Amino acid sequence: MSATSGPIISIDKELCTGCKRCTEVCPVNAIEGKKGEPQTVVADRCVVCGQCVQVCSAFASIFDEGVAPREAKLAERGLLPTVREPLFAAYNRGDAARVKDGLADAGLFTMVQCAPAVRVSIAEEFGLPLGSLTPGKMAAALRRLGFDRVYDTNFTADLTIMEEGSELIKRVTEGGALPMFTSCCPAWVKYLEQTYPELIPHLSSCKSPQQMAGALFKTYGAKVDGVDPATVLSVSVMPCTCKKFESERPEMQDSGFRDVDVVLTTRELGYLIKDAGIDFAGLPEEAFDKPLGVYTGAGNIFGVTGGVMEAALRTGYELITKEPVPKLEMNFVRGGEGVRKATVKVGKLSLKVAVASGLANVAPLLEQIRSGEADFHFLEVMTCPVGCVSGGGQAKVLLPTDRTVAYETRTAATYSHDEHLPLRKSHDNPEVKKLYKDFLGEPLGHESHHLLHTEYVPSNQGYPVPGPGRRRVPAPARRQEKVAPMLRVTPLIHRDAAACIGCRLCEVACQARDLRRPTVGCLEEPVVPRLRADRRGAAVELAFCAHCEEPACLPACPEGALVRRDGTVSVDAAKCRGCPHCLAACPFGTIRIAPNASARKCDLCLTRPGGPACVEACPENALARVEPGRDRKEKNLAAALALLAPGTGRQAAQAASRPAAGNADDRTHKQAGEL
Amino acid sequence: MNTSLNTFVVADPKKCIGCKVCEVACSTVHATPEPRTVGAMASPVLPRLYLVRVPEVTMPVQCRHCEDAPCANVCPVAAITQKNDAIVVDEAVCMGCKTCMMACPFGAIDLVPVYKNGQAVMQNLQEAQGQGLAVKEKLVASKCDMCFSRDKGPACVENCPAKALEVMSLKKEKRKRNLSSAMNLLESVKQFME
Repeated sequence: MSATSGPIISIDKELCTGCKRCTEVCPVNAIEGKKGEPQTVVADRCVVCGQCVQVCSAFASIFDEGVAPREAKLAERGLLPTVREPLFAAYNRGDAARVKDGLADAGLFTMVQCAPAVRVSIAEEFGLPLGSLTPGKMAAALRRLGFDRVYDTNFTADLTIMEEGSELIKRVTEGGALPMFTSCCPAWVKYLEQTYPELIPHLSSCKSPQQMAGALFKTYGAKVDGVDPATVLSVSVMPCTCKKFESERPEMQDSGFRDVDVVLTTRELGYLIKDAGIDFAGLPEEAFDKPLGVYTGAGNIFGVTGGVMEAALRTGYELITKEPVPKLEMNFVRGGEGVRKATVKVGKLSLKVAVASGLANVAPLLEQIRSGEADFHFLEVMTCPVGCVSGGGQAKVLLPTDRTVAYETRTAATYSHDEHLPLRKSHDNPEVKKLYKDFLGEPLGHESHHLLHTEYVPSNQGYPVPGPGRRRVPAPARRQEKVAPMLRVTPLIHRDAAACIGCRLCEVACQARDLRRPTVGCLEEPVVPRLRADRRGAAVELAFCAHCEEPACLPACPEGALVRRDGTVSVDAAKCRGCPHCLAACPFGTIRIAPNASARKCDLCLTRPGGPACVEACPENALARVEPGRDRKEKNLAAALALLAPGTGRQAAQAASRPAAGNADDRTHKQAGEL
Repeated sequence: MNTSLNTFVVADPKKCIGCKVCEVACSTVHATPEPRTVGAMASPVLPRLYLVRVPEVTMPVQCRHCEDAPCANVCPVAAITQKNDAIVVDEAVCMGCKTCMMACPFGAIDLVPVYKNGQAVMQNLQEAQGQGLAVKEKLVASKCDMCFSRDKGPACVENCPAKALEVMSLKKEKRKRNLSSAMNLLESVKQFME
């Protein structure tokens, strides 16, 4: 199965309002556009971290006109048609449909891995509290979706520690580029390649845990299950949008196949679970599969800033000193966004480490290294604010005031999971030991080097820049035709009371429409129009049917003669027996019953080519067929302009807004219908 | 007699960046159960204030909670009333006649579908569609209620990243302006004396 190309992060020009909040969170200034106008992602500068996707609040409104229909947007974004959540301007390409197809293909053996941060966020998509820890339910859900093997990225996080720890010890003792940089964050790697190519030798040659797992799935994993690696569909679930980019890098096929076929974000896993109708909250706690689903607490804390460092120190200390580490919780590397430095005594060695969280914070450190002023050995970098728990693919928090709460609870849940696991040091993972014994040999050995390590090149020397390419679903034609808003509120006839002169021509026109007689002399019946005019002193008050969204007249009819048709409330004359129930129910008194005839009420002249006859007949243009939603928007605009410039705006507001449909008296002025 | 004026939320067009966070926040806190993440939302965003975005101005418009509210005056079923210093709609009573929508000079009311537990509430009444009948979703008038059931006050104000929204209390505002104009007068008198 080939990888999908095309931009991973996009901004929908129809939805973007140009508020530029995305540019504030973009660590590489990759979003361009004028204030108030739709923004564009510059693909070769973008590190695909997805923070813009997380922060974007410009949603597709059900009130908006002229916007492509939701179905078209879902298809364009690669989202399942069953996705019900609101859509926002900044989005990442979705790949859940490819996984759904793969799961339905009996010829494929499906293996899935889940990153540590997914288990503290996926439950949020099902209404559970922010930061709920649900590894067992997640494993159960993946099994219900039909995955043949439910494995865990935490396993390869443990493996990463064995390889990366050994690599660090080697560089410190035997020489090599120092400080060594962690390489598990793909956005950080992409940033370094494109911005500081001369520092690439500092990167650990270890692949990320996702890519290590992918390479093992189609080699060791296929061997364990006795399946042909060519039939293995390797899927990962990540808190990250850049993992899609990482999995598509051309060199990531050391297993002889594409190591990771499809990457889903936490949110996309949510779509799949909902699509399958699985009740996530009601699932039992289940375990991950052996052997590639066994993990320690050290592997799990990869999901938070400082976690890789802490896991590496737990193992490094014991491997070097051969003594148990005095305290597992290393609070000096824990924390939030920013840079933390510490010196750790490991036997005779004073190991100086640094942790940077939030890509914007790393540049000063890299400048120090470039100028030879850096004095530390090991640098952990995470692009997202507090590590992967705040990743671009995580559940998107609705309220800005909840964002910090989400970061804190997810971080706390990650550490709590570590604290309660029986094994908390990567080198204690029994399946990692077994993997070395049966398959890999030793850390940094030949087989490890082949499957688990990689080489980096400056981005202008090799990696394809994501650009337009094959899409699963062709983008539908847009903008050619104006698309109506999703919500349609029934139009009604509105009178401008100030303009009305009380001539009652509207009533005559309404009646003439029904009777089709050219002159007054032809009329043999009394005039019973479908709108109601009443003399009130010097003025004439008019009342029109409001075509209520939940009309009181409709259920009142014992014959079922009142129907809603094409947005109106109309009378089916064949069924009506002329009883007064609808009259009594209508609070406006706009239904009338002619002698020996059926009930009459406004039907907006649905079948009349020229539209409502009353509107056409009014000599003062006092009547209009109004779409309330559009009217609302015009008044919103007038109100905003009025506040902006009180002098001129008041006139503008008066011109734009019509007087109220009636006054307080209208409501009490309801009479029993004429029978 | 209570002579205090209703408070209301108003936006500063000089500060507003048009991000629609206010609309999202409004919709979020009025949903039941209140979702925390986008994925937990099964309904569209149903705001009670509306962003106006034209070259001249960018700002949300919302209810002013008028002292003699035209929406309440025209409602034929008395679904709109004054409650807790705010003009509020009783959704259970509203029948969707849209008269309030037409009466409001600010366009602060719209009709929206009702969602309960992620499902659109349908009416018992049906709608003719082609030859048959189809169920129709319930639509009710929806407007700002000043988040009166929320301890922290209006969610739009709390969540605005540009701090462009504020709860306007005109009595306080009047005193503030009285004071500032008195100080201005004092200043000009001083300058004149010099």
